[in-house]
Amino acid sequence: MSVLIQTKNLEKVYHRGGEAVHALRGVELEFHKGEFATIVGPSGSGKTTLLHILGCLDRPSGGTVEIDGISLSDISGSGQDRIRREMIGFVFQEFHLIPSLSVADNILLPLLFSRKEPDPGYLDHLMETVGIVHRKDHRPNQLSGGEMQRAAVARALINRPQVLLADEPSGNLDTDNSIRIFKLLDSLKQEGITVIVVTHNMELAQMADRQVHFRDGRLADDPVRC
Amino acid sequence: MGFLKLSLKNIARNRTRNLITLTSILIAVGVLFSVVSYDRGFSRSLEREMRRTGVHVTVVPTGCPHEAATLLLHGGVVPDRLDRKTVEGIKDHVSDQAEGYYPMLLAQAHDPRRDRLDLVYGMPGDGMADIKPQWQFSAGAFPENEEEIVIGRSVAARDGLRVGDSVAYRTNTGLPADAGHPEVGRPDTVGKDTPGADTPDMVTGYAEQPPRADDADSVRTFRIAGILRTTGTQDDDAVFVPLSVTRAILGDAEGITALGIRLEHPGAATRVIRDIERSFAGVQAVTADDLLETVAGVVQSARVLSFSMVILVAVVSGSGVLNAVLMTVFERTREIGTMRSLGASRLDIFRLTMNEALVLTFIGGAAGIVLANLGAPVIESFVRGFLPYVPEGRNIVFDPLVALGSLIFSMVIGVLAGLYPAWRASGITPIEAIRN
Repeated sequence: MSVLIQTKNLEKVYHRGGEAVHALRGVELEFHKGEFATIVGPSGSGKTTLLHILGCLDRPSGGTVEIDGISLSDISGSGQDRIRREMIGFVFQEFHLIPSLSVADNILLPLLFSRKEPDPGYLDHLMETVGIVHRKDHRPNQLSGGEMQRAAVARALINRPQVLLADEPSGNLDTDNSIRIFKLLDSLKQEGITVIVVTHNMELAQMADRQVHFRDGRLADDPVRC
Repeated sequence: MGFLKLSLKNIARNRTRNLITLTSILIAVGVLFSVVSYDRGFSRSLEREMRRTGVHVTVVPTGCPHEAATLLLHGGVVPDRLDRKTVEGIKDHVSDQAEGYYPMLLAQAHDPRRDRLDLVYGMPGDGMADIKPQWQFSAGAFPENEEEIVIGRSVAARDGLRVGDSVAYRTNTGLPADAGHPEVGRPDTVGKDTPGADTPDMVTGYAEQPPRADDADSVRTFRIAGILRTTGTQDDDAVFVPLSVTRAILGDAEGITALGIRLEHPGAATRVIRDIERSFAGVQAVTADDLLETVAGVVQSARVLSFSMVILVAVVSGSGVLNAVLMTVFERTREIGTMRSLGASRLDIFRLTMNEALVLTFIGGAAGIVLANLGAPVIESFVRGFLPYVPEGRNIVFDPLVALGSLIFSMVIGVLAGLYPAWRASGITPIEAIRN
């Protein structure tokens, strides 16, 4: 499998109250096309920070990140917007669906920003894949947590991204729904999508092809306890 | 789904707040539309009315310049009069330029039968059509002889008078020989056709209250030849009689309140005025344009006040829009962050937020225009209540240009009010919003 994402000596420093907090310290990582990887580690280990940098939501303080050969350090804010639109899909722990929109409109929302016409066939396919086709016209507040997260996954996939980033996607779900979501994410690799998931749940993490362990902003050589 | 639909859905989420905001915009734009429409309609009607008087120069005794305007438009009684010598002198002076003269004399006259005090407007019977060409009659027409008169709509309605009925006025003793033909009151001819009367006499009571014997030689009766349509001016409350009658009422065989002059070449009015004022002491002359300017001056302060009010309301409603949209931005910080993480650019967020301000002001503005247009008659009657003079007819007429201008005004409020919230919203970084 070819390398899709590569980080070199990645650093992230936050300044809080005049004190420098090192969230990432020289992280070197590679993710391959069609790989399903989980990032695990205790709170404050830097895993979410890494996800945000990979997703162009944040910029590193040092080092480089390349996605499909594009260096994220060299691109402008609008360039980052374009990468988010065209290459990346996001799934959040708290779903972040827009309450005033129907499930279908929520899923289609990214197309508005990428100025693409909706493909009804693909929308139906996605909704069938995630199992919420019967909820198409419902509002998010009429859905269960599992359904909301599956809608969020469908939304992340509507732009046919190369990478899907998920931050604690099972954090607000029960075990059955968590397993269902992870199975769904696992199935995406068959479509060539690279899936990177941050999680605390070690059992779920083991469903992935690879687990990346973080501790104190660094890659840990041995598995860590969350 | 487009940006507009998304903005509409966002607006629908805060119905009460946005309804209040809409109302303030509605009021601002409604007031603006009404004020501008009224101002344009008023100016247009006033100019038309002035141009239609058929009198190019009006000579009055020296006094307040407003008096001249009052005289022709408002119908008030001006106490000073021009004497016969002055009038004849003016006539001689401008005889080579004048096409016609229209002496006017205003008085208050008592009708002993109706026990009414009327504002009586004396003018040459054959000159009425020249002086008041804009008149329209609800019944009858201009008088054809010195025994016929025209009455305003309100006078007719108040006393149930119809064409063919008669009114009587008490004249001063010592009636001049040329002042007409006084007649003894003829109560049996008065109020014959009064609507709703079981018998004419029962309604008017004229037959039961004949003029006293000592009044017999000082009361003249006149046949109503025409009843005016409602003009919305003081003409509605006036009675128009032959000049000789007002002379007889006042016991003044010579004086007149004003002399109207129709010129052969209206363009020479300014020169004629200068000439008259230089040659005759104690008189002033004005043109229709002067009258126009005078009346316009009177309403100018009302106009300034109205526009100040519009600006004030616009500022208040603009602040309302700004506040409503800004609150929405604060409430939806995380949603905005989500959209940014889904690929929305800063410009997309700016556009979405600005759309909300513009949609609010557009809907409010359009509703304001529609309501102001529907409420135009109410506004007109309200304005007539406090402006000294209002031209006849409807002054607020739907003008697409004014409507478009008002709508643009509301959109400008939207743009100004939406700028800051849109700028704030577009500045929200995805990471900051997601952590919110």
